[in-house]
Formats: sequence, C-alpha cells, structure tokens
Amino acid sequence: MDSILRKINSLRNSESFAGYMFILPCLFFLLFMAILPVFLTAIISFTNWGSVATDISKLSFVGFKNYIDLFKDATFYTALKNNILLLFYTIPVQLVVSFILAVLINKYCYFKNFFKAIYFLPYISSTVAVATIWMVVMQPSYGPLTEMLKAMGIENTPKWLSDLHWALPSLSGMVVWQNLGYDIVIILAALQTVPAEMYESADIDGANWFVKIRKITLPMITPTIFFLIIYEIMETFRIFDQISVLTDGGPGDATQVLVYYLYKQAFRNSHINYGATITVVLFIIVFAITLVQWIFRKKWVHE
Amino acid sequence: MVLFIMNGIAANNNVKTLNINKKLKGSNLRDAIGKTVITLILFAFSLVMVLPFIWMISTSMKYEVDVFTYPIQWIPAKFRIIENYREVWFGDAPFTLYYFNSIKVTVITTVLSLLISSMAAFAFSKLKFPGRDKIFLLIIATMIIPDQVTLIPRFLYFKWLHLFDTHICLIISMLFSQSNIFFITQFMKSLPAELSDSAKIDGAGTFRTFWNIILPLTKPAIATMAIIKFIWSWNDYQNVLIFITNAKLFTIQIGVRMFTDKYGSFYSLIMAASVSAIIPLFIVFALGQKYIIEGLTAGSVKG
Repeated sequence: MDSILRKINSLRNSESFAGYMFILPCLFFLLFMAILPVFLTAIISFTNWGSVATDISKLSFVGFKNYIDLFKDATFYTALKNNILLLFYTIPVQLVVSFILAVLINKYCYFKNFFKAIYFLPYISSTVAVATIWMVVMQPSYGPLTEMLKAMGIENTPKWLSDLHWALPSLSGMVVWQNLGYDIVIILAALQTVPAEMYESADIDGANWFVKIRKITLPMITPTIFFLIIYEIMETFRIFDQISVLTDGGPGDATQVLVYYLYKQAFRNSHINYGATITVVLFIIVFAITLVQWIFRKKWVHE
Repeated sequence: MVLFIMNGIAANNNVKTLNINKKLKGSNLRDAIGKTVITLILFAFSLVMVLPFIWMISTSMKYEVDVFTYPIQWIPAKFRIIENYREVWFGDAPFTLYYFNSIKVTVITTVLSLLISSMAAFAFSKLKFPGRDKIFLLIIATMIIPDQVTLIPRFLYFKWLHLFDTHICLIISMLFSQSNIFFITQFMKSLPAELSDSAKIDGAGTFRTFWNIILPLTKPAIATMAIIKFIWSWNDYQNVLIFITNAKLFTIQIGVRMFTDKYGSFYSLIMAASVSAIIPLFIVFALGQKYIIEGLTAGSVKG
C-alpha cells in the first residue's frame, strides 16, 4: 500500500516536473519579454539616462522631472491628439462599411469566399509595401488619385500626405483600406452564429429587412462589434509602420503619434528616459482601455 | 375508410407542397436577381481593394516616363520588365540578399516560436502541476502589453548582451506569442484525455507522448498558427528598423524602405520592389487562405 502511494506520488511529482520543464522557455520569455520590460521602462522613466553609451554609474534618479517635461511638451499633446483623431477618422467608417459589406456577403451574394479573400488581401499584405504603393498613388501633383479627381472636374486637389490638413485624413484612408477586411471577416463569423430561426419567425411576423437588422442582427453581434472597437483602438495607438515609411511624423507634426514620437526620442535623439516616459503613458492608456472593456463587457453586452 | 382518409390527406399535402413550390419559385427568381445585383455592387467595390495592387504590378513593368500618364495605362504600352526587376534584385539595394535574410529570420522564428508555444500548450492542456492555470492566465493577460512598451528594454538587453545588430534580436523579439499558446492550448484540450493517459500507462515518457502522439494530432492548429506567424514575421518592420543597422543584415521590409530612399522618384522601380516584397504573401495567402482567415477569426490578433 505504502509503496503504491509513494509510486503515485513520484509519478505526480514527475508530471509536475515535466510540466514546468515544458513551460520553461515560455516562462523565460514571459518574464524577460513581457513583465520585466514594463517595470524596467517605468524605472528608466525616473532617471536621467540619455544615451545607451552613458556609464551606468553616472545615472541618477530625477524624480518626476521627465513627466513634468512631458506634460509641458507641445509635441506630446499633438501626438496624443493625432492618435485620438485617428480613432475618430478610422473606426466609425471602418465599422459601418464592414458591417454593411459583411451582411451583404453573408446572405445576399454569390462567390462568398472570393469576396472574403479579396477584401482580406490588404490586411495580410506588408504595411511597408502597401504604404509604398499609396505613397505613389497619392503623389500630389500627377499621381493617379489626383488625376482621377481632376478628370472628374475637381480642380483644387489636396496635396494628400504633404498637406498639413490632409495628411492625417489621407493616412486614415489608407488604414481603413488596409484593415477593412479584418473587420468584415470577424463580423461574418459572428453573423453565422445568429440562429436562422430568429429570422424565420421575424419573417412570419412580417418584419422587413431593416427591422430584422436592427432588432436581431445588431443585438446578437454586439459583443463582436465591441471586441472590434477595442481591438481597433489598440491598433490605432500602436500605429507606426505607415508613419515611418510615409511621413516621418510630418509635415510639421501633422501625423506625429505617440509610438512614433517615443521612437524618435529614444532611438534618434538618444533620450531613452524621455522615450520611456512616453512608453509609460502609452501603457497607462492601453491599460485603461482594457479596464473599461472589462467593466463594460459585464454591463451592457449580453453574452 | 382509413385508406380513403389517408389518400385525402396525401392529396391535400400535395396541393400544399405545390403552393409552397410556386411561392418559392417566385421568390427564388427575385432572390436571384437581387443577389446578382448585389454581387455586382460588391464586385465594383472590391475593385477599390485590388486596384492599388493592380496599379502596383502594372507600374512595375513600365518605363519611368509612362508611370503617370493619364488615362492610366493598366496594361503598359511599352514593357520594361526584365530591366526593372534586375535593378531591384541585383542593383545597389540587392533584394536577393534581403530575401535571403527575410527567409532565414522568418523560418527560424516560425519554427522556434511554434515549438515553444506547442510545448507550453501541451503542459497547459495535458499535464497537471501546481499553479498551472494561474500561469496560463498570466500569459493571456500579458497580451495587452503592446510590443512598443517592451522596445526600450529589449534595446538595452541586446546592447548589454552584444546581440545588437544581429538576426538573433529579431528572432528573440518575435518568439513569444500569447495568441499562439492560447490557440494551440484550446485545440489540445479538445483532444480526448485517454490518448495521453494510455500513453502514460504504456510507460511512454512525457516527451514522447508530446512528440509522437499529441503533436501529430495538433497539426491543423499548428499549421494555422505557423502560416499566420510566417506572415507577421515577414512583415515585421519596426524591430529591423531599430535593432539592425548593418545593411548586410537588412530584411525585405527595410529593403523596400532603403530602396525608396535611394531611388527617390523612380516610381516604376519602387513598385517593382513592392511587388517583390508582397508576392510571397500573395502565394501564401492563395495556398492557405482558409487557414489564415479561420486562425485570425479565432481570436489570434496581429503580432
């Protein structure tokens, strides 16, 4: 009896041991690539660490100095404002258009998979290459977009990405174009979970398509729409590649955003501490959005 | 008598089915017309998605003087294919080298990342050890930390470990993928527990159970995640921009950027470079389209 117990025990222990061994590499990355960096960044944001070449012994803590500088920094506010503007320029358009397209693709057309694939293509394409294409398409003086508008009789065509007022909307247009397919595919998947009986009984009641969409489809896929909103907000705060390729944050600071500003400060201007401070603010924003998501998901999304 | 009644019911039923059939036929025709119209509208709209790509391909085969002719020459009047692509692949910013680097980094990243993820997934789904579920939750929770938050700490690690300016930093930066772990764990959980239990009784070691029994059965999930990992590693731009300064180590995305900087206004060449960067993605997408869309809808997000 005793020996059997011991055997079971040793088996259990060996299973525990194996379990830890199997997740060891993963734990290593979890610690060094996710958890520790958050704390390291926070610590650096309180130091005077400028360039990496600085000797560590010469570093000192400067309290909230970097944060005070940041809150006086006009460029920081511009970057934050642009990030928020991007949310309003991209997310509503993207959701409405992708919802309409998804409903149409789901029920009212032929070649469903073909359309799914076509609309999805830009999403998986490399952002650098896509941005490069748009850079040429939006060439201000004789690019195809300008020419098309001129052919339609529009004379004062904007200078797109090199126009102080048009740079951010042009960028948003590209972002919507690239991400539309993702939203469509996610909404399509959600539409397939709506039970067909609900539409059938609505048919018997004589409901028209508008009522059906408003009373059945929309409430049923609210969780998905909600997920997409949160996801797009996160993506917008992370935007970087397009700006690096297309505008370098310009003209002026017209397309300056948080991640690009932190990159510039930390890696181009050798202000690692300042970059870290912006990172902390970015993290707090992302964290706050996640919290809001948690609270709201419980409140008004019935799952 | 009974027979007569039954006959009556049958006849009655026949009439009913006939009526329904008639109704269905009428609405079928209307549906078909409606569907055709909407299919055409969707097709027109999908042109917005593909025209930039078609323009890219067509421009890449043009003489520079023909790039901005209007009306747009969708099929070039004069072709300059070989010269354009030779300039891209063997010119000053050699894409042969960038391609080699990209393939190397992408393949190593994908294989290692999937190995680490499926090992962890095996432990989380099939082994019992103290703290298992808490660690799993912690890993999932760290999904909210954006890559950019870990940028500065990673930069410092790589400087301290003298890994800066090597492909190793790119690979390490992309190895840890919470969504892969989550997806594969869910899949492995759906495999019957008897499989791993019977292997245990047989005395197969834990590693052999993992490698010979569970892993082969997980192939569909692993294939899905591998394709998606391949795409995101291929498209990675930010890590290369920050961690690589040696031009011999550039990958394709930075290659496109370098090419654009170097050739400024040679738009036909820039488009040939973009085509070269995007083509592998189109091929992968054409082959694994179903997996890609499925995997991305199942909650695996960009990164």
